[in-house]
Amino acid sequence: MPASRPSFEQIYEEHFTYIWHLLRRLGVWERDLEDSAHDLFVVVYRHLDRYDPARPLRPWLAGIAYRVASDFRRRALHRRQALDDKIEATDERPLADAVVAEHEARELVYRALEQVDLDQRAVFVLHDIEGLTMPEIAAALEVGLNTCYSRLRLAREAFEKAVRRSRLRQGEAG
Amino acid sequence: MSEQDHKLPPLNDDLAALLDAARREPDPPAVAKQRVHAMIMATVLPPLVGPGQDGGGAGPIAGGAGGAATGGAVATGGATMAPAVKLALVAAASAAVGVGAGVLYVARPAPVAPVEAPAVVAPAPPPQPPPVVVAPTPVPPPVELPPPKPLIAPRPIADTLAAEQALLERARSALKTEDAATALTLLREHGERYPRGRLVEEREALRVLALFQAESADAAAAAAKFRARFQHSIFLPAIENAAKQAPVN
Repeated sequence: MPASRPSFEQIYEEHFTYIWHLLRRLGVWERDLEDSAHDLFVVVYRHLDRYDPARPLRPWLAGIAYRVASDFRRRALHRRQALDDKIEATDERPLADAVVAEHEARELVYRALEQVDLDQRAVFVLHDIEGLTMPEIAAALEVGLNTCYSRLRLAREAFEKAVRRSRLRQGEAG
Repeated sequence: MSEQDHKLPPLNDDLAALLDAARREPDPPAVAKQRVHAMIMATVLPPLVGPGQDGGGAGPIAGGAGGAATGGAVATGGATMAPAVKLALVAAASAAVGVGAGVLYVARPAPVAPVEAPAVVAPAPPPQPPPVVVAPTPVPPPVELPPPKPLIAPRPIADTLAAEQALLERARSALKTEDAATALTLLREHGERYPRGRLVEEREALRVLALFQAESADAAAAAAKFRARFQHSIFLPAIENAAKQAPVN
């Protein structure tokens, strides 16, 4: 029996959190997440008929998220706001000790991700964080499989370097 | 070609631990989920229109869809929304705004009275044969029969809502053509005719947008007042957007 197409409401309910985190990981600033999530789900709403229910949904959503994030980054640059300023340490509230390390680790990940080119970052995020397979990523981003692998290698190198640099800076500051 | 063919080295433990922490990100706030949903509905549902008018895409208060969102077709699972449903959705959303975004999050509001349903109109009286006139005998004037009473009384609330909508739609059209002065006049008229109308929130939102468009010195204060009065409004993103774009004095 062919798979039935999920309704918009089902998708929204089940995947909002996934989309929220994915957009953030793809470089949408915290304060712009609502707007970008809105943009993404409007596309989903209007183009749901293009989704093939025989295929997994998340890669399809990831493809849209990548385009929304690309668009966001373009507009962000247009607004001439330095990306470095936007690694938001927005939450100034004191954190419980138990979560400080985890919070700092996430901040470090975001800072390092900012140093990775978006095309490479998308493959890295989708593969190494979100756990999509490379063929799924290649289809979502509409690029060849070899290109995907190449981007992943470059992304990992850039990410690792950025983590090292960031820790070094923190060490110097501390 | 499989992943094995590419012999991707595994991530080292340190990076893997960092990415694990990234995966354990806390869930987004529930209110954000509700707010985004309300924004989406405000965008994908057509703007308020009066009978016989065509919406044709999101209006200026719809929250600004991104460039990726193209096309104005409104379809849910391929089905075009009936006008009565559109009106009911708008009415329900409007009525719900005052009690918080939680209500707005309901995917489809509970069916409200079909305010535009044509079924409530009484059937036309059966055709009468033409009166036979015998001239030149004076004939008494034909007795004017009162119009047949509708089977179900018309709903004044529907009339009022439609009239409110029509007025706001004119204001919105004026805003679209950057005629803020006309928009403000129409919105003032709405305020006088429907001081406690069902679309007060939308009127106030449009008024704030019109003030920003007119670069009025009162715009920022009006926006602040709107924020305070309608803290969960689906129109807040559009207002924030207008405020951001307003020239700084």
